[in-house]
Amino acid sequence: MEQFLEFAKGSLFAGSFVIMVLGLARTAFITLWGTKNALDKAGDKNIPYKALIKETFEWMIPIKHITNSRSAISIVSVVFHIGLIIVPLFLLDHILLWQKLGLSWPGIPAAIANVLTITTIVTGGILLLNRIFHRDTRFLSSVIDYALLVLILAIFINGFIASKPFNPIPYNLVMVIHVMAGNLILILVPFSKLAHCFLYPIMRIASNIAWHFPARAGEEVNKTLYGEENKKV
Amino acid sequence: MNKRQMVKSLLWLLIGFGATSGFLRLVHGLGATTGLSDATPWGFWIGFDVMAGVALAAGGFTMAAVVYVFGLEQFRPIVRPAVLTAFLGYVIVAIGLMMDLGLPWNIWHPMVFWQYRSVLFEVGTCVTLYLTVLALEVAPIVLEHPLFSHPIFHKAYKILKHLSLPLVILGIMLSTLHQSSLGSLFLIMPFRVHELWYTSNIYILYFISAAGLGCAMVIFESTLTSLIYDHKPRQELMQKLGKIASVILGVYLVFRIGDLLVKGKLGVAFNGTGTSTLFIVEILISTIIPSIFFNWKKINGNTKGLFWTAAMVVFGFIMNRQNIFLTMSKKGPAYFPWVSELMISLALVAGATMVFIFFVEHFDLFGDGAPDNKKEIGEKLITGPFFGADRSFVKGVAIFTAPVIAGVGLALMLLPSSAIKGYQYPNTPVKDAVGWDTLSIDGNRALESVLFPHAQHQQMMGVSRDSCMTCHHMSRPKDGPTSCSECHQDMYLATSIFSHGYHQTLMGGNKSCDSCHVNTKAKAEVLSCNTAECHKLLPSDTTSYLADSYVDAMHKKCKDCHEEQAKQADGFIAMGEQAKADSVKALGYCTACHPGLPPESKVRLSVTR
Repeated sequence: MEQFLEFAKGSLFAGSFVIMVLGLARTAFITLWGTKNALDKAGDKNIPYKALIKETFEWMIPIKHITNSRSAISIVSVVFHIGLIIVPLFLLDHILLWQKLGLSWPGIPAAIANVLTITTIVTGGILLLNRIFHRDTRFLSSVIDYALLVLILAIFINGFIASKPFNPIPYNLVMVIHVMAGNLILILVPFSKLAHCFLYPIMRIASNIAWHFPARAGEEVNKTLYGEENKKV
Repeated sequence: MNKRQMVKSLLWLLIGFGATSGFLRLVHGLGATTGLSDATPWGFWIGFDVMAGVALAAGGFTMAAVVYVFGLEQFRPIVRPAVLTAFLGYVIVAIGLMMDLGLPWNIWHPMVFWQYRSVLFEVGTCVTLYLTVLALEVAPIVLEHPLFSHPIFHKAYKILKHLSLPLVILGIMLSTLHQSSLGSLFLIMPFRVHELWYTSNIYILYFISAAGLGCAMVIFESTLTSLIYDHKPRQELMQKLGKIASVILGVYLVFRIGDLLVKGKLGVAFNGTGTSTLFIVEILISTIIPSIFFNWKKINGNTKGLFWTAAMVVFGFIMNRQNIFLTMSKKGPAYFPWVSELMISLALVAGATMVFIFFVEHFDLFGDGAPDNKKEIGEKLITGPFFGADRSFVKGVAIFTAPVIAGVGLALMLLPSSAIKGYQYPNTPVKDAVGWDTLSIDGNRALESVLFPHAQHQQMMGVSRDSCMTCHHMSRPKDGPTSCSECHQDMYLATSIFSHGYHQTLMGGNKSCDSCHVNTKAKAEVLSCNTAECHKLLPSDTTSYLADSYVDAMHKKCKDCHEEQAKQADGFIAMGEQAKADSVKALGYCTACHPGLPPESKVRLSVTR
């Protein structure tokens, strides 16, 4: 188990990481190209870029938008994302792994990491329950949505309990699950909706350009996608 | 995803994997990335890329001979794909050789520095010349494309068309030389090649088998393209070609078996060893079964039957070219190809196939006008995460970059660590010192032992806990004086002697993490071994304990003390005791312990890595 753990932390991680980087480059290229095509076809080419960029940053810190119909879930989601971004990048134990390659950056104290991990696990659990029990959300969810959330929760829970005294499972097993699930998520980042961690600004611009399409453009899209005009998308 | 996309995706995956391996091979060198060694410098690449690559390219000259020399005009439509295959086969050979050469940038040497006594010179010259001829033969196919409508290209096209017959003749000539000279290579090692494969007529066998294999290869690729592209196969033509192939294979069989009969070695094929089984299977797959199948109406009547029979011949002869290396008697360590070697070869084949597919889709390869690829344009669009890519270029990028990326990632996951990180010093496990009063210390058994008078040192230093601990500074749990090699386990590399699992179990599982990993900033940081009052005798900064290499450990322990002793020589001279001074002084020289070195050698052996 210890040797497999080393393999998972070494070669498997390197491969997964490279897949993520190259995959994100690929996704960015395809999406930018798609955005350019969309721009070519937009009826109104006066895209308000300045306002768009402002809006993009506003959505990154979505305090203004919390007062919508389901503000509680919005807040939970924001808290979930804070831990999700900060803990993997700035946990000192993760930074130590990069020191073999001579890379280092400041980390967060263990106490803050613990708190953030717990908030992420709790909020993630709430989001999962929301997906299962809220009618509209369930209607919009597919298998991959549940799977990604469960995978993220598994990584955080295993990483959290790994070195805690109350951990009932052998340390190496917990770490293998933690590392393998982490590798899997790295591979999935560019090929799933997780790509929004990288493509978020492009997505905002692209969806805004969509508002500038000429009237009845949707039917054209239908025609291109399915070859018939009256099918529902 | 349709049939074509699936085939292309698979090929792109192989290219991604192999290109990464090839890049790492060029960066880190052969020793780190392949199983090849000085004892076995010729491995899988020579057998597969060069031997099999050339043999598989034999279709080019066979079909050219059939059409231009024997005048069987009906076979003209398949000359072009055959010549293209030959060209791609030789490109594989060239790139494969570049990979296999220790100094690939010296590949031009044989063209300038002629070593005309060497068979390899003949092989190299033939490859170079034939590759040029093939490139000229393939050029018209490219120049026919509307992209090259400029008058200059038109003129070049006309010149090449005029030259086609001389080029064909030259090609046939060079091939004949080359195919047989690859066999001749083995004439210089009659004692290494196994008797079932070695014969002084091996070049004849190589030539005949290449001709038969060439026909089979043409059938293989034609039926394969027709299966993938849903073309109508030229069934009758292929059937006829199969019959020609079976005749050539029959001649080959007669020569091969006849040669063994004349030598009186046919019995070896039936002595029941692994090698003889290999021989029988090879002969069955490459020759006997296909010869029957090519003439069996039930099998040669349909495309799939022809395809699998031809595939059998191809596989059989790849096996034939590999077997000669596999059964060769060797000295030195056993050789087995590494993943990187296999994947580079597969990627070369995949790359050649991609070029072939490109020609099928964009050029008039079969002499029947532009290919019918309208079907592909109507296929459902592949959508990206947010936008469907609606132009075929981006669609292609979207489909085919994914397998390339997967290939690159898989390569990094599966290649051995030395292939990725560069050459690593091999492990040299240390063996115990032997003896009692005098110990013979020779960790790697290099027959250069240092005789260590243990009893004499004991006498000199007295037997007490402290004096023993001068050398036996650490002991294994519940052990007496532990011998050096228990911890210093490698001759030249440091050994980690800390077992995380052992400490964890001993101290009570997960509850004990905090005994060493006290709440510091990062959980991965640890207290040193002596602060927790566990190992009071260890240095205060010891955390994860690395034992020095055996050589370093021995030198540190012995040298420091010996040098101290040697310094006393001046004192003895002052006291007028010359003899004592000399003997003490001798302790400071390397020869004190290593008697094999030149006398009074003062060379400091640097062993730090």
